[in-house]
Amino acid sequence: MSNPKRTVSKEEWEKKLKQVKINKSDINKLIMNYFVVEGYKDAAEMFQKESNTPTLINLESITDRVNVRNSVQSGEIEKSIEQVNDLNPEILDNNSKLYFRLQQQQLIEMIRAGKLDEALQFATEELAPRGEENKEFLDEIEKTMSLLAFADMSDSPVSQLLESSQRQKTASELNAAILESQCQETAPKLPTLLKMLMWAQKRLDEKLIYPRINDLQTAELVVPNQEKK
Amino acid sequence: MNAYYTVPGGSRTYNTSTRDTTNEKPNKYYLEAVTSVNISHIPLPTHLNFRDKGNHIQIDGSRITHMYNATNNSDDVLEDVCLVRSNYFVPPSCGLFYFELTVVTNPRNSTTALPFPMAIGLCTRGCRKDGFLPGQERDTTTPQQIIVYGYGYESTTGERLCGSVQGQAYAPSWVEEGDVVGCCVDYVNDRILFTKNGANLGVAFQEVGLNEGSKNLFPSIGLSQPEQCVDVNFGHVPFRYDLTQLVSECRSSAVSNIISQPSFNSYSCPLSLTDVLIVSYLRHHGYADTAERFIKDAHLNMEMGDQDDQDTRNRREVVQKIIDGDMQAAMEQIELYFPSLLSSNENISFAIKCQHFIEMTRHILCVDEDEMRDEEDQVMDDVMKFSHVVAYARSELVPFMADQSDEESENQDETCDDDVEDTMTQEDIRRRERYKKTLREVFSLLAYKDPTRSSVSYLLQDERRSELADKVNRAALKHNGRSKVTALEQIAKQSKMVIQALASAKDTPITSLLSVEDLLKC
Repeated sequence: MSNPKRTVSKEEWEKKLKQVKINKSDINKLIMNYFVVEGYKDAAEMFQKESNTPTLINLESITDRVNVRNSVQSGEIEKSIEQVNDLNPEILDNNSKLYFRLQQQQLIEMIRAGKLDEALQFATEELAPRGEENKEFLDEIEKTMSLLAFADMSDSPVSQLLESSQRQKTASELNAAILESQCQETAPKLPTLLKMLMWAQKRLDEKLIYPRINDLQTAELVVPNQEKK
Repeated sequence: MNAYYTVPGGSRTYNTSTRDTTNEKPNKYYLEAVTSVNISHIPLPTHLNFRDKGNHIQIDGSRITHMYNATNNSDDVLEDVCLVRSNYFVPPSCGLFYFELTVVTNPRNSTTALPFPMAIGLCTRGCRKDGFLPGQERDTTTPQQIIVYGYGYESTTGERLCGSVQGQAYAPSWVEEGDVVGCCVDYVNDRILFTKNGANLGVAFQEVGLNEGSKNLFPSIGLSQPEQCVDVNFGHVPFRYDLTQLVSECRSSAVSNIISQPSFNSYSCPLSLTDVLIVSYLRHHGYADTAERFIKDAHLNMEMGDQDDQDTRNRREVVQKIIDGDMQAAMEQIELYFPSLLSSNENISFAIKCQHFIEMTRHILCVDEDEMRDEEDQVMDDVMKFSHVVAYARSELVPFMADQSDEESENQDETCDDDVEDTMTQEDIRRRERYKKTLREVFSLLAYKDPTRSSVSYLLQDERRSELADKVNRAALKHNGRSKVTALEQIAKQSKMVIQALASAKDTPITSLLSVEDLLKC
């Protein structure tokens, strides 16, 4: 490298970082936004009470989304499909990928419950035709069916399908589709903040050596190992 | 800058220095609309440049007038066309820039009664100042390749001008006196658009390659007829157009630009990460019930140790008591849950006791309003109560002023270390001064019959309680050896700092619009 980059020491950076002011009420708003957009009504209500953060919208208006989310997260996929169709049948009609996701989740729930006959019937009658229309769907179907190959499904290489995070993911996609149909903001701002940080740090890497946050969960400042004093 | 200059072809001199200095913030309303902390240090166009103008143009502060030049008595209209550029070019790193003009006088042709052309727009340094309106000139030396000298919006036809005297249909005309037109150059979306009388006229030029090469664009105004006169506004007075709409549009496309960066798609932000960050933030600040509801709502597998849970709830209890104004109970709970916190932290101890004093005073005043009693009894009663409050202050608050407080004798940090004492003195004195000032403030509450309408009414506001609650919460966290800042807050701070560093390195037009607050406040 012809032009050596300037290095900012951890002490110097931390000193400046200490002076950066972030209002707690702003962070609270960010969290409230997450609760409202993602449809966590109870949490939003309690948060309003505990932190005095305004919700900006009537929480009752998110009840429909909350019900759909709860159905998905408790594994009642058929019910959630009915609820979405009651809200607006076009949501699933116009979004074949999302509808597939729900069907896949439905299959996962059948497998989880040990309803093997039902699962096989559902897979051949409902899902297999969809795999023909889309290669990506086919991969997903095969992945899901491979759960059946293991007596103890937690040993399966695709065991993450059974985790609650899978339900949460499906629920969030469905939630975003409902929001979109209502012409509302579909993405909470918190993940944007995280992405913004990763993007900005990467850009600044080209100009400067400075303590960066590599692990967002701990948010620890780490000096890149080029210089260790 | 020269204070005096001569109008070419004329003999009058104008003093500009007074005008320039009267406005400390020539871009005030622009900066307010953009509300970006990142662009304050970049030079922006602030006024028209009297050294960079066509022959006939006269500048007087923010007003520009076409002055007929008697020595140049030509019938050719083009001869009279001229333009003026701003002092600085628009720095691409500002992301988006906007300026306006107001038509002051616009004479008509005496026979046809038609108005004469004007134009608002942006020009490079290279274009000629006489003979063309902004956007009309084109480079004729390289016919194969169009070199654009500027962009304009013409007044009589409403056409947009780019590299040709012949414009293209765009928007309505703006020939009436009092018409306000604006020009916005948007580096984030690579486009130029105009406004008229507060309405956005839509994009005039798209994908013009604003970021390519070093094409510095100067806000420019062109006039063509004697006595035409306009006022230009770079934000020293409010704009007619509500710029904030455009700014937020720009900002969201900046954000989506980032999120859709190809190098970035590989990094997905797992939901579980945001959930973990939120839960630890909620627990840190003692929002225990919210944390619990969220964990349940989101079906999270997040067990917390009994000890963590207890700690969160303890802090929450203390915080709640402070917010409710029950300082006595708060102090008792602190003693119970965080023993020695009060005795080791003089600031916190003083702040809580002051608040207790305020609450006691408030209490006396509230009771008075509610209860109707014999006046004499009431006076006696008040005296009793106030003397109780004063007694409290004397025994609990005044000792903090002492140089060597007996109360603090348990405080290991301050009493046992002789070496430290000298270096601490300065700090100590300042601290005592602070205490004295606060004490004077809270005591003055007693002087008013209705303190809620006094100059110290802020002492009775709820914010004071929540600020104190926050302070105590942080002290309690520190007391239990926990970090004072949550990962989420650290992330927000780091983002702000990194983005500021990028903006001052003039990185990309995008960064200037991405302050963390903007994201938070949207």
